[in-house]
Amino acid sequence: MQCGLSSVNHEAEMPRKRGKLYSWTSVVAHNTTLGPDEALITLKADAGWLPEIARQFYGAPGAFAMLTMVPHDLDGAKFGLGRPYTPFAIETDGTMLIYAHAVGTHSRRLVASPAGTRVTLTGPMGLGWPNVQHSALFFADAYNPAPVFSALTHPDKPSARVFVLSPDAVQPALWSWAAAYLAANQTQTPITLPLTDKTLLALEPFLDKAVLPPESPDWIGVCVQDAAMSSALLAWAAERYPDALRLRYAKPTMACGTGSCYGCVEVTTGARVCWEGPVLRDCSL
Amino acid sequence: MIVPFKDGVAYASPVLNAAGTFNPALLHTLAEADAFKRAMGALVLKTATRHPRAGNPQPRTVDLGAVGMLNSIGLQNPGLVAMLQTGLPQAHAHGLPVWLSVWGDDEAEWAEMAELIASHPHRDKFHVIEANSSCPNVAHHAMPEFKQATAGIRQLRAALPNTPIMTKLSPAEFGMHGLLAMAEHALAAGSTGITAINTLIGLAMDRTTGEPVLPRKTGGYSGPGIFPVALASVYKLREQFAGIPIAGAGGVSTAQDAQAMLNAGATLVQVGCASFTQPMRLAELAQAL
Repeated sequence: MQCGLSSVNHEAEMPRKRGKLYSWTSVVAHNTTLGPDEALITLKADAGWLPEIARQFYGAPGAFAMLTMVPHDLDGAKFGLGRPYTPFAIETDGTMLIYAHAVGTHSRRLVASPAGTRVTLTGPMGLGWPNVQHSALFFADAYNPAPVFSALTHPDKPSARVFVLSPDAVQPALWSWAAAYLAANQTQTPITLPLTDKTLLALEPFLDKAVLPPESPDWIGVCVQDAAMSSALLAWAAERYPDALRLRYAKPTMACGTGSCYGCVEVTTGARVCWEGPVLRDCSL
Repeated sequence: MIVPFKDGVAYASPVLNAAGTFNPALLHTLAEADAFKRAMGALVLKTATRHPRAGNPQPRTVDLGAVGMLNSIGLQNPGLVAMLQTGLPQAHAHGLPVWLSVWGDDEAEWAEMAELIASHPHRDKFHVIEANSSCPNVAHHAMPEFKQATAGIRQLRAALPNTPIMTKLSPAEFGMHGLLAMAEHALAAGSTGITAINTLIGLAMDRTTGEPVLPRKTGGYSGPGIFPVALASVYKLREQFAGIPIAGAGGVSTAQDAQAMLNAGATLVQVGCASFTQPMRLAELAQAL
């Protein structure tokens, strides 16, 4: 199915229109190693920080910031593409928590960055989840906790039920930390689904066994990297809760994050994920 | 203030974005949009083609680290009509001179586009036409294609006799001698000046598969790694063509780079990759000149 741009953008459901876009410098305050290629990084903004930036993030949980280590700490290099990071949380004092996973030179450097490392952030970018105060049902996989958590820890957090797929198989340290983080923030602990088979047939019984809300949630968010799994979940959701707004979180490689380069366009939808997304309406992947 | 063309239109600075590297809609959201507008010389729109174009398969970009990036976007755009109808007036509303960037697949398309542009009610909303004659990411890329573009420049010149036309070229396919030869053809066909350089051609191999990362194999190489080539190109163009406007582009990342480009003979400087990491760097770079 080909989807036009008008069918994938959910800007009408956003609590606010696109907020202001800022650029600021932050310093790595803490680096908590989770494994050889992953770390939780606490960033603290410098004196140029404005609480307004945090308010813009709160307006769109699930939005992201582009992070680059240039022109600060990349061996004097004057160029380095940014990487999109959705913060778990961002405070009005400029503290921001992100999960870094090494996939290339740049992110490997960030994972290994000691306290004091300076980075540049530009954001918030993209359209996050809509109307967080409404009821929601989330599906997340092991790689994408932050977009979901940023909604769950929001001051107007939704009445949400969260299902995490295969948490024991991949990145257990991250999800162990995440469960504690949610508990500390007085938010419901995710229900884990030990899925190993990425087929719809395998999915349905697990979902039925889980405690699903009897009434339709206002919206369903799928934050799953695997496209087939994401499609299966959305198809299931369409059948089970036909009236709910169905949304998915897309996270491709981005070059600019600002809608300028068309590098992250989804071929089937034509959407620039950074600009029309990263949260997109249910559509063929 | 500078006046890059003979028509007397003044630009606040010599710094512009390169086509396809800055989203004008950001000017609604950038916290420092006013400072941006004050610092920039003009806004260059993403290249438009006669008909909407879906672009190339994913992945379309490769991060090369400190030296830059590869792109294989394939000129995705909503088409010239949509650009004239919507994109152009939106960009024009920000109060900066606007460059309309266009690409034609063949002579007939160039002719159609020239007619469309000349007769469009928003004709007065752009200042310069940039004829993109060097995108490395579409099916045709050879000297015959350039000859068609030259014919296209003639069509544009005939339809828009008083509009500055900048032809965007790259030494990627034919080297420095080819670049100079293409510039000569373009100027003879009616181009006012030259934008140089468009991306070079690069390749990235996947370490795991041993295959090219990009589905189209090669892509446009941009970023700091191509700056010396861009600088040499501008220098050679200026040696050969005194008095024409030259927009220097290719790997400009700092105010020092931009100044070097001006010293090499550029009239204007276009910034591409650097605006990806931080859009405000365009303005910061302009302010530091």
